[in-house]
Amino acid sequence: MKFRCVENTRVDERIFFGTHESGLKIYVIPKKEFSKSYAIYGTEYGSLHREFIPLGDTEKVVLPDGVAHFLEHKLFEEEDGTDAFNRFAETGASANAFTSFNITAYLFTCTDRFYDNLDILLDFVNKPYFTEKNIAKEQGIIGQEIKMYEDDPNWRVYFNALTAMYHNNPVKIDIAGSVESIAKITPELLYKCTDTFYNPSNMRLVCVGDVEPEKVAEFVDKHIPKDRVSGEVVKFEVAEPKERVQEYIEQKLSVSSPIFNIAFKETETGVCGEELLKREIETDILLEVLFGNSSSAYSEMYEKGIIDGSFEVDCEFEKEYGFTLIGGESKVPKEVYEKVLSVIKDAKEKGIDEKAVKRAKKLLIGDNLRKFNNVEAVGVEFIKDFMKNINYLDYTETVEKITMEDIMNRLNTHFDTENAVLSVVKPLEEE
Amino acid sequence: MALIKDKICEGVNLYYIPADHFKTNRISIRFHLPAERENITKISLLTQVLKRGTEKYKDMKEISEKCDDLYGASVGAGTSRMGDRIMVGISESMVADRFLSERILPEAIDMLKQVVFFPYLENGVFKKEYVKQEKENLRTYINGIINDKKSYANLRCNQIMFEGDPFGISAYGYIEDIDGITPENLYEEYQRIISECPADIFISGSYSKEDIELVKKEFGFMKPRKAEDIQTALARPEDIKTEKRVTEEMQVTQSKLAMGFRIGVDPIGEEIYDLTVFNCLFGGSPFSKLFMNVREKMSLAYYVYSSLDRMKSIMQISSGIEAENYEKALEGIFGQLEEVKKGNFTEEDLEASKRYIATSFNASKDSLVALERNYLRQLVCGKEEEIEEFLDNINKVRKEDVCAVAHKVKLDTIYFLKGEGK
Repeated sequence: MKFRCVENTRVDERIFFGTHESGLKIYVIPKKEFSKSYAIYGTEYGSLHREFIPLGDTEKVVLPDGVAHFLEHKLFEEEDGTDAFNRFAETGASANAFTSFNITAYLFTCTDRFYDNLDILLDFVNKPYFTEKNIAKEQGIIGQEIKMYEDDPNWRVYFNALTAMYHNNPVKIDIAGSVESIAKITPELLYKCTDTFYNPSNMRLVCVGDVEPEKVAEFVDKHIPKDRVSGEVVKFEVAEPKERVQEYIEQKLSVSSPIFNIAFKETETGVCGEELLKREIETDILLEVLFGNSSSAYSEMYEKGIIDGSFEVDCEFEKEYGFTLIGGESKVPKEVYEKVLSVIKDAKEKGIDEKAVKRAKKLLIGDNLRKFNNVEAVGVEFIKDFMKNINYLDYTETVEKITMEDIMNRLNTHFDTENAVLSVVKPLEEE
Repeated sequence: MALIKDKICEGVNLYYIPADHFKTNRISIRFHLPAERENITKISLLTQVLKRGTEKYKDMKEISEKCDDLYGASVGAGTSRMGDRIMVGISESMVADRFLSERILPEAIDMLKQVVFFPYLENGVFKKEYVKQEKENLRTYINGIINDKKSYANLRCNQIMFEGDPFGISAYGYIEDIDGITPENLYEEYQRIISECPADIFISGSYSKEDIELVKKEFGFMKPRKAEDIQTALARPEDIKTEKRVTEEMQVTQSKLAMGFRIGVDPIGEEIYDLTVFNCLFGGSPFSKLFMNVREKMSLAYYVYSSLDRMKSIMQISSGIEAENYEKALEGIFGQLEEVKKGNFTEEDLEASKRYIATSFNASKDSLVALERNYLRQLVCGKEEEIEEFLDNINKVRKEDVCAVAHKVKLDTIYFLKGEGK
């Protein structure tokens, strides 16, 4: 296989990428001066992918909630009864994994013996081993993980916002599932998922650090047969109405004061690549200009005492879904919600300050540069973006290309004040 | 990578950590104070008031606009603890000039200087509204500690274990002390801190000779002060009078267990290496005794781990469990501690721990914040040791050393935040 190099001299970063004969896409970002090296090996499979046709089958399978995440835990287990953590213990690497809405990824950080670690990573992820017994054991551990999240007010306020936004999109389902849903998991089911989603053409490998692309390819050759080529995975997308489910949702938990998320649902989904990156940046600029620390609305609300330092803005855009979240702690979430809506209506009428846009762009360019300080963050950011067909190295240039007109368009399409959601977690004793 | 030492004046050190593989530079200033109950709430409030406005940038909006203009320079301020001392720290991270089409370092340094030394004043004291609003925010913040049940349980355990000790003082301050704070007495405390408390300025990243001179010039107005050392009293097992067990109930699904142990090992003595290896092997890694047994074999928890405060010499164990599994979890944890004491672990476990420690210490070279914290800890402890030297000493630790140090670990407090389960 051959690697191609793309460079961005302004940020002083380069990336090698190539496609292995098996279909696996490989990316190497050299960072020789760093102590750490990092690899992340992921599949485009997460909690969203509940319905699919297993490779070689003709009939659709509908998975119980939480399978992708359960599978992530179980892949660490090896046939001889040990687990992959023990193998990383031999090399001193620190290994981990995560499952999100659309990715399951396995990763390690090391300061030594990178290729030995890569060897382990590629080996254990490609060798699933599931039994009734090891599944039962995991149900106890994940049961505790689920309960930990049930008590986490920030997680709850977030998922409740998703529930209020989405009718059908599985993004509203908790990634770990529930104690009841994971009880339905069988070895056969897990094998169906690995056979389908853990095939090379559905996966990506990103390596960051003191790493040679050709050497990475050698290890991939060792673990993944070149002829293990498989067809495209047949996934099903659920039709999602543009409208929100409900405007307001609340839950009571043992917290000291109310926590809120205000959400805006993206209704034009199905976009990827540069278009998606542009959409993300335009939204980030708008969020900075309208609600960032240097905005008038932020100062006004802060000085009035209805928000505090916990106030945050964020957006997430994927092919299958997208949303903006504005959240924090407040004694009067409804007042913050009204203010946010009125700021948006105002901006739509009166337009946006061009100077503020310029400042926001500088801020984003600085934040982007900052990310390259962190070997792990680079790995995670790149793998997520590659799955969306975005080249992260294009970031700065994309920011600069965005015009005032783009931003106003974005404001008018995404920030629909008639389709917003307010999610609140209230203290138990409050009425 | 070695620390370059310089001085602004008596009691004010300047340290430079050269590291040119980062996209950013960093500057921070830290004032050292003994942890004392009577001042802590004011100190905690102070860091928040300083971020509200300066002489040049009179409110948060103006500060933020300037920071955005400096490509998102970020200024942070807060209190932190190191042993029995509290540090008031204000730091800033900014993109290095070589990645930009303009030079921002001088203005970024000026920003930090503004925030620390030239606060926005009215009638010679802090602005009334700023103090009032930040008092309210601090109240919300302290009340909100309970929202994160895991860190709340760990904090409660520490409070119970160190009641009446400087180490038990909350660095965030106390609700009941907020009302008594006025713009006048807060300003008085501020003046005392910036003019009398020993201070360290750290710069890290890529600074040229001229840049360093600029820093020295910019902070050259700081007055000499006594470079007093603040000692930390080690937590010794012999100080345990009775084991404390406290259970509190709360309407939560998962119960949290927090356990505190006293060890009494000198952070600059020879045994510190043994202790570091012990912790990794016992509960500080994903192949540790706690993880492999209490989580993987007994299936009792999603998280169960131990961590050390090497300066105070304590170990804390933290876990989330079902309320009904309380006794089982304790049995599992103590059982594993006994196993380590008896030496029921392999040479491979020992070597794996050393490698794991090496990875995490070497990894700290990739973060300016971590580098700064490492050096600061060494300076505070009074023993300088490069990472390589430290790891050489870790490599010398033998199995019997781990067993010996395991015998020094003595339980002081078990705190249990009991939920209802579901």
